[in-house]
Formats: sequence, C-alpha cells, structure tokens
Amino acid sequence: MTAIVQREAQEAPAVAKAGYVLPGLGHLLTGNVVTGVGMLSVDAMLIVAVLGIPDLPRVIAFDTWGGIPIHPIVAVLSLFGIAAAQFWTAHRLVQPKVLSELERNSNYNLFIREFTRNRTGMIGLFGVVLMIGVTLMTPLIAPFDPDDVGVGTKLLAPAPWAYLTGAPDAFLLGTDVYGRDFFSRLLYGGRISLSIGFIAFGIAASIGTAVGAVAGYFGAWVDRGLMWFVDMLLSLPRLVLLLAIVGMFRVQGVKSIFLIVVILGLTGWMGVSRIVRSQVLSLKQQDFIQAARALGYGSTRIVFRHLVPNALAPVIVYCSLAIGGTMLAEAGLSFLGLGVAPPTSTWGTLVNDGREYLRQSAPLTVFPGLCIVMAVMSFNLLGDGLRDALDPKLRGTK
Amino acid sequence: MLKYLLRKLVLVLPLLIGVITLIFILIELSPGDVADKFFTPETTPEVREKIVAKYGLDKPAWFRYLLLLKNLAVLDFGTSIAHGEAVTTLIGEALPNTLILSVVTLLIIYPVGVALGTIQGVKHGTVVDSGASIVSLFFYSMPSFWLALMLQLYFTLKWELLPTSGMHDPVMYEFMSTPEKIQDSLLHIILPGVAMGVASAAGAARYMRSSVLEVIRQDFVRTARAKGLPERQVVSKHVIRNAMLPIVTLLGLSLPFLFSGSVLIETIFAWPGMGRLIVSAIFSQDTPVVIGCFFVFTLVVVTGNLLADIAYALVDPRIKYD
Repeated sequence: MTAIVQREAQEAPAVAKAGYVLPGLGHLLTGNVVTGVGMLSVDAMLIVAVLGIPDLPRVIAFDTWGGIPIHPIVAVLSLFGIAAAQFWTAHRLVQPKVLSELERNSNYNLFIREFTRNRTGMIGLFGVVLMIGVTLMTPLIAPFDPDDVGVGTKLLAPAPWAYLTGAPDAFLLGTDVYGRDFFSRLLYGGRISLSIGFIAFGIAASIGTAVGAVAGYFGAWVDRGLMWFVDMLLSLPRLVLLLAIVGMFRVQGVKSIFLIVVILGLTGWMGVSRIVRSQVLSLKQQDFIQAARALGYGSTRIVFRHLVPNALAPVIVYCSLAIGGTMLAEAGLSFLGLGVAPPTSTWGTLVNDGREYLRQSAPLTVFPGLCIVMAVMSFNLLGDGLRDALDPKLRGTK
Repeated sequence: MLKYLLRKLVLVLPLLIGVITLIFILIELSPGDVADKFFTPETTPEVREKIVAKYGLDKPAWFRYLLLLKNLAVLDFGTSIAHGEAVTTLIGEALPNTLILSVVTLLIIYPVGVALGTIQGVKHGTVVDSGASIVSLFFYSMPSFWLALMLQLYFTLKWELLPTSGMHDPVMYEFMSTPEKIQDSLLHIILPGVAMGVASAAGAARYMRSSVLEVIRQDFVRTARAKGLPERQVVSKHVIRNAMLPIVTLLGLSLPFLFSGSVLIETIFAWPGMGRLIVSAIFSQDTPVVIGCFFVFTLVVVTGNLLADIAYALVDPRIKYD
C-alpha cells in the first residue's frame, strides 16, 4: 500500500527566481525550454498590450458594442488576468506545491505531468493561449482602427523596420486596397474567426453530447433512429451542405454572424455524438450506473450527471481537434463570399479580398492564410497532446 | 459477403430519400415564394407553364414533395433554370471531370502520404519523425483554397511554369496532336490535384504513422526479427502490409472528402466539375440542379463507403462480413 507521506518540498535552483522579474525566464534558465519560450512570448504580447494602454480613449471611440465599450474593458481585464497567471506560474516554479504520494498519482496530476512532458502538446497549448490572448486584447494591440480608410496610402508593401522606427506612411504588414492598416485588420479579423470557431463548436459539442448520450443510454429504436439521422447528415459533404443552407437563405438578405455561427453549429455536431454514444454504451454497463439506477434516479439525472461527465475526456480531445475544422469550414464559406457581411471581416474573407490583388500585393493573401494555418495547427497540436496524455495505453512510453 | 453488400445497398435507399427530404425542407424553409425559386425574370410564359406543371408549383408542399420523389425515382432530374439544359446532361458533363481530378489526386498524392507515414512510424521518436510530423500537421491544418492560391501565386504568376486554370489550353488545344493534348491536360491537372490532395495526403501520413506504430509493437514483428530477417524485409513484408489495412478504408472514405474539397478548388481553378456546378447552382438558385447535385454527392459518398468495405474484405482475408 502506498504510504501517505508528506514529501519534502524540493529546493528550486536560485535561477528560478528570475521568473519573478520576467515570467518564463526562470523556466528557461532551469532547462525547461518550451515552457520558458512559450511564457516569454506571452510576456512579449503583454508588453505590447501595456504599451497600447495610452491609446485606449481612441479605441473606445470605435470599438463599442451597443454603446458600451465592452471589448476594451475585456481587454484590460484580460491583461491583468494573464499577467497574474504568468507570475503565478513563475511562483509555482520557485515554490512547487507539496503533494502527498496519493495526490501525486491522482488521475488529474498524472494527466498534468504527462501533458507538460509532451513538447509538441505544450507548443500547441502556448499557441492557443497566445491566440486567445491576442484575441481578447485586440483593442490594446492593434495600432489602428481596422475599418479606417484614412490611415495610409493604398496597397503599401509590409515595412516592419520602417514601422518600428516610426517612419511616416509605413505599416507593419502594409495596407489593403482602401488604405486600411492590414495588421489591425488581421487582428480584428482573427477576433471574429476565433469567436465563430469557439461559439459554433460550443453549439455543436452541446448538441452532439446530448444526442449521443440519449442515443447511447436509451438504445433500441431511439439509438437506431438518431444514428440513422447522423449517418445521413454525415453522408453529405459538410461544405456543400453549408453552402446550400447559407446560399439559399442569403439571397433574401439574411446574412449575419449569428446565422453563420448557428449554421456551423448545426452542421458540426455529428462527430461528437458518435464519440459520446460509444462512450456511454461502454459506461452504461458499469456498476456506478447500476447503483444510480438502483437508487431510483431518473433518466435525465443519470444521463447528464453520471454518464456525460464521465464520457467527457475523449470529447475534449475531439473538440480541440474539431475547432480547427470549424474554423476551416468558416474560412471556406467566407472565401466563397458567403461568410459574414463586410466591413466585418474574418481571415477567410481577408483571403478572398486579397485574392483579386494577388499579383499586385501578395501579402494580403499570404498573411491571413498563414494565420489560419497557425491557428488550426495550434489546436491540432493541443488536441494531439491532450489525447496522448489522456490515453493510459500510451502512458510511460515516452 | 454478397449478402452483406446487398443489405448495405438496400440501406442506401432510405438514406437517399432522407437527403432529398432534407434538401426539400431547406428549399421550402428558405425565404421567398416557391415559384420565384424556379424562375428568372427572363423565363418565358411557355417555359413557366411547363415548369409549373413539372414541379407542381401551384400544388401544396406535400404534393410537390411526392412529385419530386416520383421524378427522382425514374431518374428524371428536370431542367436547369439557369442553363435551360437537362440536369442529367449538366451532371453528365461535370461528374467525369471531378472524378478525373479525384482519382489522379488519390493515385499520385496518396502514396506520398502513406510512404511518409511509414518512414515516420519506422523511425519513431527520431528527428525525422518529429520533423515530418510538424510538416504533415502544417499541411493538414492548411485551408485547401489558400494552398491553391499560393500555388497559383508561385507556379503561374511568379515562375510561370504551369497554367493558371482550366482543364486545357483554351485556344491551342483543338490544334494539338494527341501526345501534345495529353501533355497539356497533365500540365493543367498538376496544380488543382496538388491543392486538393495535400491535406488528405497529410491526413494519410498521420494515420499511417499511428497504424505502423501499432503494428510494429506486435508479436509477429518480434518473431520476424527474431528469426533473423533483415529489418528491411521486416518492414516491407510484415509491417507495411498489415499497417496498410486501415489505410485502404481511409482511401474509400476520402472520396467524399475530395468531392467536398472540389467545391473550393474547382472554383479557383475554373475546373468544370461538380463542385463548380453546385456552387453556381446555389448562387443562381437553380433548384433542380441543386437537388440533382445533392443526389449525386450522396451516391458518391455511399459508393465510397461500399468500396471501402469491399476493398477491406479483399485485402484482409480475416474479414468476414455476414
């Protein structure tokens, strides 16, 4: 039997204290390169955001939602939140949490240890953190109003050095055909792209979980009927289905972010439902469900309080892989001109807009595409890492 | 086996009816008058009358639904509103083009992915493996339409090596000799083929890698090594053959995936296939063509699934369907 011994807190090397000055430096100096570099990039993002604080009044003038400057407020709050998390992580390196042997081997701690050891998974995690951070703090980071046509001459080439040294009419990533700052457009576009990806997949995951759990739990004709419906939807290529729905409803003028989000959500839940169903089918036979039934709990309670929470692990992995897919689907739709209405833009619409000027100014097409690739790739890396860490079969193989 | 296939075939019918019902409901729900969806302002009164009779536009929804099913049952897809041609003719022209693109993509791009995955699996844990993993994940995460634009940017606009779009040279093709025609067609298929295939090749590489990793740990591989076979033979005769099995299924399943990708790729490369047909039909609200295309897309998916099943049984004698 494992004795419950209080372990001595391990003495962290003195260099770990560097993390108090610049979070991440401590990790880097103690040999944890991936985490160190990752945290340092988050620091860089935070510094850029702090430098943007004097600009807040200008931002509040255009970035409001129903008269309330909700985005700038969120940006400032996120700035403090992320900074706090950074320093807390640096502090944990200097003073690691003391865990008993029992706690050390809990499922949660095993998972954390396994995941943090996975280099590519951590890269994905930092990619996602950076992306979400930049999205939340866009008003502080973006140098210009993304829709302001008066900031520069049109179709300027990217001039990062000239921009950083403060030369006039020089822009980090150049300007688009209306003379709008392309870097700002990219940031604001990413905000919409990511939000659509998250919310649409949130909808999809909820529907999928509910359908899968109900099908798996009730079995018999409920299962057969629901799975037939899932099979039918899966036999339609997703992009074609999306096109048909959006195309048919669009022509009459209904075109908004909400419509896109809902439609993406309604067409993306089938994969989740299959996974949840198979999980529930195997969980259903286990003793704790029998016990719950013997206690006389109702079906709703058993499904949503006992089955679903236990089936979530593979769903989380699938979600992180599928958010990328949702973003790609949105980008494809936008690329065909069926996405959100201008002047609001997403990475997909930016690629579509830039396409006409491929010859004159290639960066307009190259950068939004690269952003999509990086975003989707981060989610995929994170998902792979989560899967490896959650799969007990792979434990200890690395 | 035969019995299994027959049972699968019987299940295709409700699937098709389901898809048609779904599309019908979509068309019904979409805003605007039903009749408007079947006419353009230029439609002449005579044609108008014919269409009204054909689709029962003056009848209630349930009647139109049954009429649609009846027409489809005898493979009568009706006439395109935008082109005035029979839908079957339009699809008949477009389908082979998409099939050519898909098959060429599958045959050329796919083996590259499988080979890459095999190397990764065999060299598991080395720099080769992690490097290739990152590269294949990079391409796997890439929107195909963006890759298509990048290919156009470099290979046609900058380096002027390959033609931008179309299936063959618009002017010169007629006057070419047969070998020149073949060469011209091949040059035209390279870019769309690559743009369409890279993502699924990267997917295949990822899949093959994990498949190889699973096989290489098994006992019969250890036996093969123990009896003194050179590593080369262990890999080619024992590992690859067994690891290929799930890939065969993937091959059949990626046909619908490619068809879905064709929507974007064909639009960019002006490839006159199914993807372009359905996009233009949706944009011009050409309802009969939309329905016809969905019918064909569903059939392709179902065929892909069936092919996957058959191929799986053919390559793996252990599989017995009943």
